[in-house]
Amino acid sequence: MTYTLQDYLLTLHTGQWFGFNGEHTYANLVIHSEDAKPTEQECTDGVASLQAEYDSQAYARTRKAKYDLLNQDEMRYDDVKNSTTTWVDAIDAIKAAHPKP
Amino acid sequence: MAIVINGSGTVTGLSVGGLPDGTVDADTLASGVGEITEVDTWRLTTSFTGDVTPLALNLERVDNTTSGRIGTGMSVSSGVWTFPSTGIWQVEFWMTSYISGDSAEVIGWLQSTHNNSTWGEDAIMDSFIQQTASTNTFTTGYCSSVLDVTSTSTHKVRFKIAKSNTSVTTYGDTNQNATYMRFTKLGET
Repeated sequence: MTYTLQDYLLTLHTGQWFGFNGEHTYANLVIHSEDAKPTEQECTDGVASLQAEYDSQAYARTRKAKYDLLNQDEMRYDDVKNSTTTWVDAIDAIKAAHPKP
Repeated sequence: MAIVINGSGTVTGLSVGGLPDGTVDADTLASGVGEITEVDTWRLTTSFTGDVTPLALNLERVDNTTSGRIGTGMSVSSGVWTFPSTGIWQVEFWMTSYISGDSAEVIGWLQSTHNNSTWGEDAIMDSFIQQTASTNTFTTGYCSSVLDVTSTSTHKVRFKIAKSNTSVTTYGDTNQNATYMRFTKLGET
């Protein structure tokens, strides 16, 4: 996912407080409310911050997708019944394959 | 009244419904009779969070290279829409919303007035976003109503949006229809 100027502005206030005259660029940004217009630098930094936060969670999203492929309840039940560690092993393998930065 | 065939090529004295069924078919009608005379589509160009009554800003007539329109079209001021002529009008409203994280309910209304003052709800769309994606989960709702617009100065419409979570974004786009409304004149009042 790539964050845009509009994504950042949506985090500042609710309602139709801003719009664009044409394409969604800072040069085309118009403010409809009495809210202060953020500077271009604030917008650039805001978009970068959103993107960094999202990118930093890539490992978690990947892990989640892998976890969801496991039938974890059944694995845990079988481990208890059979004295095995298939569930822990599978989780550990996913964590090792997609380490936290 | 007697039916008279005039020398000028006209017929007088014929009552409405005086011809037997099937006497006049589509091929016999003058060009334009029975055709749609008004179709106009507008859209939200910029996304927003939170509620609005009415949806008033960042609206544009759809202007893609291949977009089409018939007739005069609608006019809008402060979110209140005025019809270009009286008649039976179909008003349609599509609303696309999304949220990342929590689930939420999204409601859109099509409201009308017959006195340019009192607003009533003609149609509602009610969607619930159940998060299924790790990023944004989308939903699109639709509602419509057929209105008898007997006066263009008193009969108007507007759109209202509310959400159970202010973080829900109503999706607007200047290049494609995401949240948009279409006005079609179906016939005379």
